[in-house]
Amino acid sequence: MAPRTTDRRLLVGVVLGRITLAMVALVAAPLVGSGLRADEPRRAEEPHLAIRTGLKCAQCHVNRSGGGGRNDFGSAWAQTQLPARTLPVRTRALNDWVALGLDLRVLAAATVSEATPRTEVAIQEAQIQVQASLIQNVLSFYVDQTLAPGNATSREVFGLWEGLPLESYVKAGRFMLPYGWRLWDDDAYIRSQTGFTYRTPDIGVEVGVEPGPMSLFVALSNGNSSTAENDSKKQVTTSAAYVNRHFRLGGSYAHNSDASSKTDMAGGFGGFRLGPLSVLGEVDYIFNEARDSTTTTNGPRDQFIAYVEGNLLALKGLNAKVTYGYHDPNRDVVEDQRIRMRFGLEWFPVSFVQLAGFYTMVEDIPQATTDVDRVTLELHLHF
Amino acid sequence: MGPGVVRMAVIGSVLLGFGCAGDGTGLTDPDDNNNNGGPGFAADVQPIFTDNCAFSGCHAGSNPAQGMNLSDGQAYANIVNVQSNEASLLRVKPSEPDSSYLVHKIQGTQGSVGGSGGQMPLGGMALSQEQINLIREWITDGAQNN
Repeated sequence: MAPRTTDRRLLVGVVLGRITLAMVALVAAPLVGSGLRADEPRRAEEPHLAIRTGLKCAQCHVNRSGGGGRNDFGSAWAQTQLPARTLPVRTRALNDWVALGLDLRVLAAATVSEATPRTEVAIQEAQIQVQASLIQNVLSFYVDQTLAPGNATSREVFGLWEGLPLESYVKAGRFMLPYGWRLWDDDAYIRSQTGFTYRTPDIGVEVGVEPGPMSLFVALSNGNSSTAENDSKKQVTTSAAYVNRHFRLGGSYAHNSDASSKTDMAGGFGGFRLGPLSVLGEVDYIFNEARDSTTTTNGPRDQFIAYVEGNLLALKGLNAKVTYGYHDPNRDVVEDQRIRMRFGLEWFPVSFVQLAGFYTMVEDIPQATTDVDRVTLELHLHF
Repeated sequence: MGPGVVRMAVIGSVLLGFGCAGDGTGLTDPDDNNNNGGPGFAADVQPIFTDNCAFSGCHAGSNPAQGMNLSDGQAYANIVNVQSNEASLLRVKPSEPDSSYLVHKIQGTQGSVGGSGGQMPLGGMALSQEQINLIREWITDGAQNN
């Protein structure tokens, strides 16, 4: 690992200045939110809540493999268990069969770099989720519509048939594929390098079986992140986990291929809780036979990725988080690995509101242009 | 008997009544709905349900979990002498908190009586020991709808 050339001690003042700018920007964000970067990375992870509660993803999310809009229980739980101060609980149901969900995330960020200082305010996401329960607890139509950034588009839209034997279900449409931890942070290596992010849902069919403490998901999809299908091959993505009140352990596998490439990836994920502490982690190994643009060779390229995250619930409504990500982009090349670390606080002062502040540190090879630290402040309104 | 005699009898009875009034010992506190001085359902137990359980998606709304609606005005009929879905116990068996499945669910001891699922409130902070004791005491006192 090559050392950074920048002396961090000289940047303390810069950091403090940027934090101030970022705080001002965060306050101003709702007023100037238009015209911001559409590719702004997301900065909040939620899977630690599953570890903390010992519950399956389906307990709180309409998408039973996790992420996206919350169901009735998830909405009530978020309003009553997350915040330091609870307001009267609002039901997401518009009537006895249609329910509504909302998410707005506004981010203020400052890069910590002598060469390219920059501040920005961005809308990370503005989502509206609608669930129509056509047959109670059996058949639902669900759409998770992106209002911003960028053009309005549906992140997820699917039909869900539940209540089948062995706690199973079938889902068809566009949805996020079931692989590993569904972190909110799309820039975490385990998400950005495997390709299973909130920006890359796919069109296909998913079957889930969740008897007792087990969860098994199998998805068959186009394998092209919802772009036009142009081959006869399909992607298979699977994930299985054992969910316990105090820990969970799981594994994932995915295979995708087209005329010019083939990718296999496998990984394990898990986590545990110990009092107010919850820890989760994931490791992935990617074998890609696609043409490697970084080395201009056609040979195979193996990647190794690891991620660890610790969360400490200091007080009700206040969570301290530390994350560590490791990525070796080519196992055949020495000293090309990189590390990404984040630490900060998440504060839920009152129902519907989350405030977060993070420092992100990237240790990369000297030639990399991504080796820039960032301070971020985030406002998240959720319902 | 003339009207004057009746009037005198009524006045006499009233005066006699006042004259015999006690010091209040043994009477209920007007602020306490429970005749024995223990926790009352409306004043003490229902607020716990309302604050921790009776939400849409949990134990309220059009489709409450386990068909058990704990909303104000619904809770009592949904729990007292009602068979639980997860175990052979009644949800609340009057006078027997240890044979009441609701108690085991909030204590997290449902597994010891053949139950299943998680401790309630699900995925949240457990009720305080004081709240659990209050519910147990209400059941011990007969689980009255007071």
